Amino acid sequence: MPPTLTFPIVALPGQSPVRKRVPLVLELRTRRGLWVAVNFRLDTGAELCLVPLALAAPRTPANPVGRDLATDTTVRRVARTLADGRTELVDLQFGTFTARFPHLPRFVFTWECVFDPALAPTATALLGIGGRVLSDVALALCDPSREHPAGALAVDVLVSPVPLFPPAV
Amino acid sequence: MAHHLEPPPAAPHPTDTPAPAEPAYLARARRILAGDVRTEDYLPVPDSVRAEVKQYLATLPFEATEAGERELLFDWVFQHHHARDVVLARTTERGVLVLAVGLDQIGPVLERFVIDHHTGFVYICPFTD
Repeated sequence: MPPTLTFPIVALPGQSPVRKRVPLVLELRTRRGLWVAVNFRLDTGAELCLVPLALAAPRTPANPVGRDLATDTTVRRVARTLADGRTELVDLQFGTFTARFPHLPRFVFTWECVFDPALAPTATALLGIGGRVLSDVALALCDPSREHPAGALAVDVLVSPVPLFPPAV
Repeated sequence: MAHHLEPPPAAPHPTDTPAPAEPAYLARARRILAGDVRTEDYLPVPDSVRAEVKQYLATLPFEATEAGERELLFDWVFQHHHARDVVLARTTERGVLVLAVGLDQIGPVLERFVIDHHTGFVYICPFTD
């Protein structure tokens, strides 16, 4: 069994009651086979992960922070409901990304994600709790403790590690 | 009359020509990625943040460990300096090390250096959105 990973919860200072965010770092695979670390925020109200398309796209002069992630996407036109009740049609890219946790390199996940072209590359990537995320990891929010005064997110990996050698035919 | 060939004008040696000035943040990033990390590279810890952390810890019904206190302090130091910025940063036991701030710096850094998981630097978006 892999060890339980803990990510400290971030409390926002100077606010009463104290507001908290749950960040976690995932290493995402690029098309060149590298792994790049990106800070996600756990969104307990989301069923899908959300990543700015600009972050997943290749780096270009117009998109200097593109990381060229190894994704497979299909474009779907969906109706998005705005705050004032109107709906608009937007083209979103649905697909998957390949991720792993920094301290568990042999556990590799392929998770569903929406790559939103309307999001700026400075928008925070969200980790939704749904799809294969639910079957691959167990997430638990922990109260403040001596080790993590603002609380922590505990992550238990539920799947087997990637085999070191391909299976014999 | 003997003809003496004029020696060709000496071509400037590559090291004689000054390299185009590299922005300070790129020179700093190059130095840090080469392993030369100095104390002044870490984000300074303001007294006000230290006081806020103490105040928060005093509200807890238990005493935080040294590592726990440091974790909270570094989180709040990071937010104090860069809560509204997108950055490439990593947190170590000595403090928060920020490599590049904003898309204007992150773009050139990603273009010149390989910032993969081996470097430990994480792409972090603003806390306040």
